Order: sequence, then structure tokens, then C-alpha cells
Amino acid sequence: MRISTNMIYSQGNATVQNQLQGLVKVQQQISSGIRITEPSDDPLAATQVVENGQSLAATQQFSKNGDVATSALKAQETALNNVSTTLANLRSLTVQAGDPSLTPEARSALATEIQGDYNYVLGLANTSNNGQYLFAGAKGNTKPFTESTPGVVAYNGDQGQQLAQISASRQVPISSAGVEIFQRIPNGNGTFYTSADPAVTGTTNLGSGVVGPGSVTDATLWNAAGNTQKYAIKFVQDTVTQPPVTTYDIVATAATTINGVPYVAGESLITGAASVVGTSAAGGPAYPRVYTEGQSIPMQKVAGDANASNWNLGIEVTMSGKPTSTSTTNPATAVPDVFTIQPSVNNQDIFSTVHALIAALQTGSSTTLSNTVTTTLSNLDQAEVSISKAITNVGVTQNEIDAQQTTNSSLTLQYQTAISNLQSTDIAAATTQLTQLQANLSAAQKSFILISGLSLFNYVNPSAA
Amino acid sequence: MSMFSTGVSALNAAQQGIATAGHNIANASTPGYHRQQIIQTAATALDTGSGFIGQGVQVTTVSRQISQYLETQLLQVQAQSASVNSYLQQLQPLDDALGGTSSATNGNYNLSTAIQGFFAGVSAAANNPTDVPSRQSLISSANSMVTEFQTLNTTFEQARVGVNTQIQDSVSQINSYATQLANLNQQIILAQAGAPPGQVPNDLLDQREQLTSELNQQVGTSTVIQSDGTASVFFGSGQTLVIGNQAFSLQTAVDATDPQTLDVNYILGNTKVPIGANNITGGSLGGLLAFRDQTLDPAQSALGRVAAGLASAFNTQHELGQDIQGNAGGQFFNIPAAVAQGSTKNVGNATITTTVNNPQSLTTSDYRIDFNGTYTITRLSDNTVQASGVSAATLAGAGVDIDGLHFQLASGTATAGDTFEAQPMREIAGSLSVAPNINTSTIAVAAPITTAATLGNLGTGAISAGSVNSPNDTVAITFTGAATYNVVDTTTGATLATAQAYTSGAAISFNGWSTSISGVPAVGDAFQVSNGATTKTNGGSAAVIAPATISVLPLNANLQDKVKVTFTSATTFDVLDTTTATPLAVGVAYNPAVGAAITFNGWSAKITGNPVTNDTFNVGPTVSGTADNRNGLLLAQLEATNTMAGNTTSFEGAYSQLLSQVSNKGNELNVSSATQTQLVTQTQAAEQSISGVNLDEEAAKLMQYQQAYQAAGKYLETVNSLFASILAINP
Repeated sequence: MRISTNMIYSQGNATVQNQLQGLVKVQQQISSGIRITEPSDDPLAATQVVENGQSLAATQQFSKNGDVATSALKAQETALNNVSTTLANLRSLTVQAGDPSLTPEARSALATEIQGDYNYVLGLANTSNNGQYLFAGAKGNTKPFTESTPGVVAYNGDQGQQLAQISASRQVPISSAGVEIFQRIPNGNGTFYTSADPAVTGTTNLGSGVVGPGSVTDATLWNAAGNTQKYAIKFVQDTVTQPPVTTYDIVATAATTINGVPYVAGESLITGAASVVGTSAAGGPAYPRVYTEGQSIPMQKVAGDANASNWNLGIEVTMSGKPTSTSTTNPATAVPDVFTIQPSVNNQDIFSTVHALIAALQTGSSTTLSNTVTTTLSNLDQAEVSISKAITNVGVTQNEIDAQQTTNSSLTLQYQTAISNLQSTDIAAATTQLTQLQANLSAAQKSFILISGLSLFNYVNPSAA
Repeated sequence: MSMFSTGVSALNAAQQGIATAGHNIANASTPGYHRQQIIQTAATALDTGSGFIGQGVQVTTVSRQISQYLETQLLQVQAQSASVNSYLQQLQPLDDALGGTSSATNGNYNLSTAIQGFFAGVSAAANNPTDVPSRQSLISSANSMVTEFQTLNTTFEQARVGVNTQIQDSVSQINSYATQLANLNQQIILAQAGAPPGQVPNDLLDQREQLTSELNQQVGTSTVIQSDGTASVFFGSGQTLVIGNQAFSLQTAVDATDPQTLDVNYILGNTKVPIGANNITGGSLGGLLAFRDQTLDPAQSALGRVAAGLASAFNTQHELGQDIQGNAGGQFFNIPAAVAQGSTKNVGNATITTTVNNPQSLTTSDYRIDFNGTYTITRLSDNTVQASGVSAATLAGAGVDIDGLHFQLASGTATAGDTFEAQPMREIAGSLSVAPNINTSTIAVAAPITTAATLGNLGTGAISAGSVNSPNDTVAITFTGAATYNVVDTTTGATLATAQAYTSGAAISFNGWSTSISGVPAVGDAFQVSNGATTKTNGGSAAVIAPATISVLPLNANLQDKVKVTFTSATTFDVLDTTTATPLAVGVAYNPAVGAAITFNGWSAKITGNPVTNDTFNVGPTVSGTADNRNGLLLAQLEATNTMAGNTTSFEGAYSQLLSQVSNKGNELNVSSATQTQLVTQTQAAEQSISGVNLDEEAAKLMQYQQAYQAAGKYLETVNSLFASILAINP
């Protein structure tokens, strides 16, 4: 093939240009560390980098969300643990308050100490993290618990929860509705609550009778269909008989069915008939069963009961002290001391419970105080259950977040590795390529000079001819 | 005497040879020059009795060394190469802009990063709903993202301006070449007229071929050499550019329905004939037009689609939320309506606008709207009619919904024959903005309704946080009979409607979307609406579901009414709207084992557990100033939700499709540019091997002719001495 002189120059130029382009590209790849300097270098890898980048950014965001959630949950856990410790302290103070030998000064001192714990718990319930109240439900910037008058604490939050997205499919709660933790606690023993509940509203029982919190012996019976779980224990004292005798009746306060037998409100379970104050042999007021102080009240049929039905409520209640009645001699005017049993409701409020104890310590009679101490102890137990439940919930959520954070970290690493594999420069290969291109360029330049220097004209000498 | 003339002829031939070699050496670097060579033949011999005696040499002509086949091939590959290179040159800024600066640890593609940054801002606001700096970071990141969209769009706009400028340049170059070619044709005719037959003006021909080659690098042409030696040049679909000494010209004109586009018109006397872009192939003009039609328009629309889809989906969810002041969320992004361009030839004054109403159905196509008494809307990507026979009243009233777009006659009336072209996605990336009334207090991070169990409830029943019914929910429409169907929101589990009467084609609207089913459904036929995408999930083809449109506004007027759910027994409840004192439901059966999903007034919630008689649950408005972040989380989830292209991809997925489209084209062009360059080099080498000047060769020829001249001189000296010796004889 003929070669034209022009071709020698243009091809030499083109070769040098090509080598230079290659060199610049490799130099860019090495200096930036990125193999794909333009998406068109490797369109597939470029789009995969974008897709992996999206997943990476999302995962990193989930990690951040998890950190936010952890911070909020840790603050909650600390606050709840402190509440729990304080409740334990309150419980021992309550037990001290039950000591009948306390002087008024000791009572007052105790009340002050309890008031201190009360204020501490109220402060903990208003814990905030990063300016967000943790126990206000979703109303994070509203102080959830405010005390208008002593012992009356209003909840200003709501029942929502602030959530954090910790993975594509999982949201975890990072705030709690404080009302559920501090104010919607079952009262009594968690199943039912007992209270001194005078027959005439606004009066107090006359005797020193104190009802215990009671316990469930057979949940099946207590929860049996038809059992409305509302009963009263009524006491009358007969001082005509000597020594005086205290008797009692167990009365349904609402229509109920036990062991298949229906009772209307006011009907006695012991007799199976309407509950009325009877007359003892000596002429004093009398109820069907005889009360012995400190004795457990059997909430079931016992030998000697008139009621033929083999009724059994499945619970146990103890009484202490001496209940009495308005008249201990005349059955017609004897109004009994009444203690009621009702299903627990979720309306116990830690603040009002503690405040009631403080009030009783400061002003109450010793009977009121005893009754309050009993109620307070069982209520504090329930409060402790409620706080533990809340701590457990926080812990479970935290565990979930920890597990997810581990997953998120490994996913982050995975996406970063994928992106790096897709677009990073292989420095060893690139350096080798750089050296190779350098050699090629140098060869192209040298050979071009060599070839372009060859010309027949160098040898043509017209004068020689 | 013939001996002398023989010697002179040899001297002349050698002189001409030297002159031609000198001409070759002089033009060794002249573009388009073909090396020349003298053609020598022996002069007619003298017939003598002793045979034919040679009479010396004669130069018959000076011929160009040329292969017409290679010349034609070279023209073709040069035109092709110019086309590919101009396409690639235009594409490179887009490729760079979409790629942006990458970092080693993260796929830092600018827009992708901006979208990620925006959703990180959404998450920040959701994590700290009442924190003003967090809310501000959402607005800042939204503005950054919008700026990124605008920046990219500007790159596209600049490319468009660049294309138009270059089209004008190219057209004026073509006109100039055409005129020069016509002039050369004239010169060639004149030169040939004075020359003996068979002799051609080689250098003029070289010049003409060089011009043809340069013309071909602007636009692909075909050349035919006529019998009179003139070259006729044709281009496009056979339009004549040059014939004889006459040149025709081209002109650029703004497209009738797209003011941003320049068309190429062919001027024929007093008429301008538009030449379709697909008829102009080869050369840089061909490359420019191909770039504009095949890459720039679809890519800019694809960018617009990402912007429109993201903004529209975000707006929809934002409108379902509530801001910190307790007001319903407004539009977060401002997406201006696109105006369909009326042709400059339109007689009427109708203005037609397009707005986005369903992000998942959006395409990157443009649409043509023709008016001929009624409106016809054609999708241009596949040239299919999407709506026909649409009356002006319909277009002005309800409008027409196609591919997630709402076409509306905004004002004026059209005259039959009027035509419009809608580029609904092209401008959106550039015109998108954060709505002016968005500030830290108007971001709707909260959900507008809040549920609560009454504190005195005795049972263990609980109510879920509740949510506003959203078009993103998956809703199943199941036919229980040929003419009745049930509607269940499978996301919340709530039954939206039962025993609805079916009318073919009637609108079915729930949760902020609207669709219609037509045909003959059978029992068991099931349809699904999810994220705005409608599909048939069960049954034959006798009944079909139309694409959905989404508009959550106005929200249910009673959404924020106070609603009380009261259990009348452990297994039944009543629902009362206490704001309007309207019973919403009475005696609804409740199964404690599975709970109950309820939906009223546009919200849904779930009751679980064991409520007892007289337990109540309340649903009501979320109070202002809340740290509720339910809507914020839903907004953040949009990032990973497949809301684009028929719910097959996310916003970044749609961006990555755009990136893939442009970068693959770039890759393809890089490869074909290298191939074309190689082809040009090879063809040039082949052409040069015939036509190129080799200086060594010319040096050899110089020596050859020099020696021939010297030999002829020696011959003449010999002849002279012969005569001298005869003349020396003195008889």
C-alpha cells in the first residue's frame, strides 16, 4: 500500500492524541479514586451506584432514627427506674405510717418525707429529652402532668405515641402516654378493690374495722359469667348480748348470678333472701354470721348458712378492728358499718394515692389512717406493677432497636462495599495501565520523530548529478 | 529533422513531468488535493520502408489519481462520523451533569444526593416534630433539592439553546457551501468549454470535492455528476441543494407548536417546505436533530417526571396531615400547570393546561391536541389517540384525565383545525418550587385525628392511633354479584362500602382517588387500587378498570368531628358523631378475638381487646402544637415507596432510569464514535494511498525526469554532432 506523507503526520498525531486521552483518563481515575468519571463510562454500574446509594442513605437514616429512639428510650428507662425506686421507698414509708404508736410529730415528719417523694415522682413524670416530654404521648412539647391543687394532678398529654422509623417496615414508639403509666393503674389488688363504704354517703363507718385488700383464690369462679363482682359486707354490733357480738352479712349490691342462682341488689348471699338486720336472742341487732376480729371472711357458703345454693365467689377478704353499727341495741335503728368489694378499675392515680396518705397522716383519725395505709399499700403494689410493665415495654423496644441497629450497620457496610466495588478505581490495575500508556506514548512519539525524519530529499543533491 | 523533434518532445515531456511533480510537492498538504501524474504516450511513428520509426513522446493529459468508489465511501463515513460526534458532543454535558461529582464512599450523584438529603430532612422533622431547627432543615433541604432540579434543568435548557444555535450555524454553512458549489460548477463549465475535449480542470474538481466533503460533514448529501461535468447535490428526502450553477437554500424557523424548537425549512421559490428531522441524516446537523429528538426531549421530560412525581406524591400526603398550628397541611411544593402550546397557525384563542393528578401514571411523552369540532388528544411517543370526541364543554368543565395528567381548557375557544402540543413534563423540573406559604409552622408532620380511650373505661379495650384514609392505601373492590360490589381498605382492614350498586363506567371514588369500572363483571371479579395504580386481580377480561386520578382535597368535611364509640355490650358498639350529633353506626358487632377496624368521616382506626359495656373511645381533631409525627413518618416513607411508572419504581429509581438512558446513549456513542473515527481513518488511508502525495515518490520522480531531461539533452547533443560531422564534410 502506498503511504502518503500526509498520512504519516496525521496518523502520528492521532496516535499521540489517543494515548494522551487514555493517560488523562487513568490519571483522573487514580487521583479521584473513582473509576466511573462519567456515567457513560459504565452506565450499568452508574445506575447500580445510584440504587445502592439510595439504599445506603435510607439505611443510614434508619440508623440515625434508631439513635434518636435509643436516646429517648434510655431517658424513659432512667426516669421509670427512679420512679420504681421511689415507689419502693414510699412503700416502706407507708408501712411505717401504719405503726399505731406514731406520735403526731412523727406522723408529720413522715408526711413531709412522703411529700418529698411525691414531688420527685411528679418531676420524673415530666421528664424530657431534647425538649420533648417523654410521658406526654404525642404532645411532646406540652408538660404532661400539672398539679392544680395539692393531690390533683391533671394529665395534659394525649394517648398517642411519637414513633421512630428504624427500618423500612418497622416503627417503634419513643414516647409513652404517661396517663397509662401513672394514672390508669388498677386499684385494689388489681382484680377487685375493697373499701370502707358507709351506707349513708358523707358519713364514716363508726367502728374501727379495717378491710384488707383481699385476694383471689379461684379466678374462674370470680370471673364466672353472670358474676357482676359488686358486693358489700355489712356489720352490726349487738351489745345487748354480753359479751357483745359482732355479726355480718354478705350482700349483692347489684343484680348478679352465682352458681346459677340469680340475686337481686340487696339480697343476702348467706340467706338467699333480702338482707335485713335481724334480732338476736337477747334482742340486739344481728346478721347471719358471727365476726371474729382478724378473721378471714369466707366469701362462700359455710355450714349453717340458710342459703341452699353452694355459692362461692372465689375471693378472700380479711377484716381487722371492730366494726360496729349506729345502734347496738335496737335492730330497727341499727345502720351497719359497710365495706364494699368492687372490680378493680384503671383509675388509680399514683399522685392521688400518695396524696391521700399524706392527708391521712396529717389530719386523719387512726382508723382512717389504717384504712388508707391498707389501700395505699395495695395501690402502690399495683403502681409498681404498672411501672415495671412500662420498663419492660421500653426494654423490649430497646432490644428490638439494638437488633435492628446491628442489621442496619451490616447493611450499611454491605451497600458501601457494593458501591465501592462498582465505582472505585483498582489502584494497582490503574497504575499498571498508567505505566503502560506512558510507555506507549513515549514509543509513539519516538517512532513518529524517527519516521518523519526519513525523506529522500535528504539525499537528493541536484549539483551531484 | 524528426530526430530533433524527437529530442524536443522528450525534453518537453520531462519538463512537464518535473512541473507536475513540483505541483504535487507544492500541494502535498492541500486539503482535498489529489496527486497528479502526466500521461505520456509514444508519438505516432513514421512509416518508412524500413518500418515504423519512433517520433518521440507526447504528453496526452495530466490525470488525477483518484478512486471514485473510495471518494464516495469517504464522504459517507465522514458524514456519519460528523453526525455521531456532534451527537456525542451535545450529550456529554448532560452525561456530566447527571453524573455530577462522585465520592468514593457514597453514590454521590447530585440529584440522587439531593433527593436523599430532602428525605433526610423529612426524617429530621419527623424525629423532632416540635423542634424548629429540625423543621427548618426540612425546608432547607427541600430548597436544595428544588435548586438541584433547576440546575439540571438549566443544563438541559442550555443544551437546547446550544442545539438551536448550532442548527442555525449549520444551516448557514450549508447555504454557503451550496453557493460555492454552484459557483464551482460554473467555473468548471467555463474551464471545460475552452479546453480540448477530454481534458478536465483537475484542481477545480479537487476544490469541488473538498467542498462536497465539508458539506457532508454538515449534512448527509448525495452527489450526481452530470454529463456536462457539473455536480448535482441532493439531501433530505431528495431535495435538490445544487443543480448546475444554481444553489437552493435552507432556513431555520421556530416550530409552530414548540417555540423552543427550530425546524429546518427548504426554500423553494416563495414557499417554505419544512423538512422532517427524521429526513435529515448524517453530518453534524443530523446529529444535532437526532440528539434533540432522541435524547434531549425525552431526558428533559424524564427529569420533569421525577420532579412532578415526587412533588405531587409528597403534596398528596402533606395535604393529609396537620401543621403545628392545627391547620390542615397545604401544598408543600408548587407545581405550576403546564400550558399546551397552540400552533402559531391557530385561529382560535383557546388555552389548554395540563396538571399532574396521579404520579404513578405519568409518562415522559408529549401530547398533541387537535380540534376539529371536538378535541382529540394523541400521545406522541407511540402516536396513539388517548381521547377523542371530547367536547369543548367537557374540556372546559370536568376536563380529561390521561396518563396521570389532567387536561383542562383554561380559557378561550378553538377553531376547527387548531392544534396544540403539550409538553407537560418538560418545564416542571425548572419551574418547581417550595410553596411560598411553607415555613416551620406550616409543615404538616402531625396526623389530623387523634384517638383516645376514655380514662374511666373498665375493660381492656384499646384503640389504635388511627390514620387518615389515604390514596396510598391498598383498596380491594370485589364483586359479590353481577351488579354489586364491596370495597375494603386492605391496608387498614376497614370496610369502606358494601353492596354498592354497579353501573358500568360510573365513577368510584374512595380515599381521595377516583376511577371507574366498565364492562360486564362476574361474581368474584376483583380489582385493586394501590398508590393510584389500578389493576385487576381476579376474573376475566369482561370488565376493566380505568386508571385512577388522585385528589385528596377537599378532605372529608367531617374528618375532624368528634366521634364517640360506645360499647353497648362486650360485643356491640355504637358510633356517634358528637360534633353534628349524628349517629354514624348503631349496634355494630364486635368480636374481641379479632378486634374491629372502623372507618368513618375519612379516617380509620382499629379497636382491640375486651371492652365492656359503657366503655367509650373518642376520635377527634389533633390539637395544635403536638409532637405527633405520624404524617411525618408517612412522608419519609415515600422515599422508598414505588410511586412512579405504574408503581414499579421510586423517585430515585426514576432518576436512575433517566441516568441509565442518557449514560447508555453516551456509552453507545463513545463506542460508535471510536468506530466511526477508525472507519474514517481507514478509508482516508485507502484514499490517500491512491490520491495522497508521497514526497519520497515525488523526489524519485524529480530525479527520474531530471535524468530523462539530461538524457534528452545528451541525445540532442548527439544529433547535433551528427549534423555537425555531416556539415564538416567539405566536398
